[in-house]
Amino acid sequence: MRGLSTGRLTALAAGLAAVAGLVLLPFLTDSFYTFVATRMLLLGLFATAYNAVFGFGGMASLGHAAFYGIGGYSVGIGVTRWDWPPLVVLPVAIVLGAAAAAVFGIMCLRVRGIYLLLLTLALAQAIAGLAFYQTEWTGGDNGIPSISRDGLPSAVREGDGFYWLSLGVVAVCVALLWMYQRSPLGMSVVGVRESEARMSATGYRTGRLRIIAFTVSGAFAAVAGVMEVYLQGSVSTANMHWQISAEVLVFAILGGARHFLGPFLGAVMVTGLEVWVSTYTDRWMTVLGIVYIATALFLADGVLGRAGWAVRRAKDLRAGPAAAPAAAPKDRTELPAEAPA
Amino acid sequence: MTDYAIAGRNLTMQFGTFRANDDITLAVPAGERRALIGPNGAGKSTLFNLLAGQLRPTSGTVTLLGRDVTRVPAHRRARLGLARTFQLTDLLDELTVRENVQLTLAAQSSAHRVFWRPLGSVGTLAAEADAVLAQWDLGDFGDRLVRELAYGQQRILEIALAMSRNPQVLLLDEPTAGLSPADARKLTGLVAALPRTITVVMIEHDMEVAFTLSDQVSVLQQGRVIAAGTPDEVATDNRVLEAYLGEAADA
Repeated sequence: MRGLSTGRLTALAAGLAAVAGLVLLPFLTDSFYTFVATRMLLLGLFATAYNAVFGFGGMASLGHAAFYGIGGYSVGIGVTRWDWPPLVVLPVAIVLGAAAAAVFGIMCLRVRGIYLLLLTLALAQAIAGLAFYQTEWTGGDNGIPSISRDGLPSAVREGDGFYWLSLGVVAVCVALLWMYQRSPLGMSVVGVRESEARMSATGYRTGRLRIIAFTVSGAFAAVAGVMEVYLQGSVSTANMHWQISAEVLVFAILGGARHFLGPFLGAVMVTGLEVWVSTYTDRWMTVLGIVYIATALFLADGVLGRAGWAVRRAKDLRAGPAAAPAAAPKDRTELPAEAPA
Repeated sequence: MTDYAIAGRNLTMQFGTFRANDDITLAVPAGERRALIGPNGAGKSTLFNLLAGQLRPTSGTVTLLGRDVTRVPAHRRARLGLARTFQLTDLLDELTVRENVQLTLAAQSSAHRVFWRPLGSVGTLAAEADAVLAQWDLGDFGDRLVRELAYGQQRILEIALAMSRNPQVLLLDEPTAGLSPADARKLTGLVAALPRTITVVMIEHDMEVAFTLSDQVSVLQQGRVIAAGTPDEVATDNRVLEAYLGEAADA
């Protein structure tokens, strides 16, 4: 008992320290790193939302840039055309992102694995194509520049304030996703990942669960897209580029798709690495490619997967030779087999 | 007309050019223990998939508790009172034993729609799940991942999950396959002890187990029912002996 409560206290202290660190971060760094931290938070939310489909749903989507971009264009079009305040933009973006994701989910009911990957990619490209050709609405290739943040309360409009706004939005969204993921609904989506036949023989409508996973994921991905465009002040087809879908997939794998916070960690690590590498070389894409390959070869169960395995092994070693050895980390087959290198 | 708990009539299942089930009729009265035996490839598992709704028949009908369910999907047959186990253990491997039971129970009520509270905190799910675990001697393994369980325990968990839903019809696909003799005996005992209110249809390769547990035996070969009757009748049926011993007799 004592050991358990000490462990809990440590965890609590670490959690409080982390929260304090996140809140106080703008005072500890300059504006550039505050901007970087804001991006990390938003991409972390995007990756966490993505994982509701990928890690927990067992469906490797390569189309999430669509929902992210839909969030972005909701800001761009809503603010520049009709001067929508954020409290209108956000619900509209959530509804549009969720609706698009539900359509993706319905279209993907009959496909699995690599075919789901290709179909989500095709659907997302279709939406990106729409954004490209509807120039009257989207500005086509040029996108929509100089999107004003004037709708935001002045306290959270710029720099540090916007960081705190993002922190709040991301914290609420991640908490909601966490509650959903542990709930009977979220757990039954995991059940479908584990065995669709078992779940339907138990009385679950597995197709509906897959659609729900997409819908939840798309709604929160759109929120991330909204905040990103408020941050950048512009939106273009780059916000819907398939490369964004590929990056979020790598965030999830790198951090550990079987862990709730794994994708968030992956997003933070890749974004941090990008900033760090950029101070030495312009060849960020080369480095990113190496990271992709190394992840596929050595970290298929992600950083958190590796860490969890190490912790279990240390515990077993402490428990003595009589204890059962920890299961070796599962190899790549544990992840959805269609995850590309 | 007898009340059949589950019945397949003139069931045919065609896979391309291969006819896995060929005009099979199988009607099991309520409360009966029925064993399906037959050599590998006889079509037993296909028949199970037709009865439980994993497959739609090419032709023929399935009735469950007096209702025509031929076009009813598997999840709705499950809600009507049908439970099944799978030939190759098919559990939620990366979830804990307790979560497997809780998810199974949640499907029986509105609990499965809850999306804001943790699974274990909804209604009486946790208490009910622990009761199921205790009942099947799995209490010590609640927090273990299913994939960490010994194979025999996984087979028992499959039956525990099926039974936790209070089914009226239970389909067991080779419950003792791959088990050690001790585990097989234990499982046979558990199946024998199931209440008579439940209709049980089982595929079983072990003749001794099949004949001990069943009231009636149906013998399948090459997609057809070639014999049916009490265990004693079937054991002395020439066609059955031929089906099983044909190759040995020729040798």
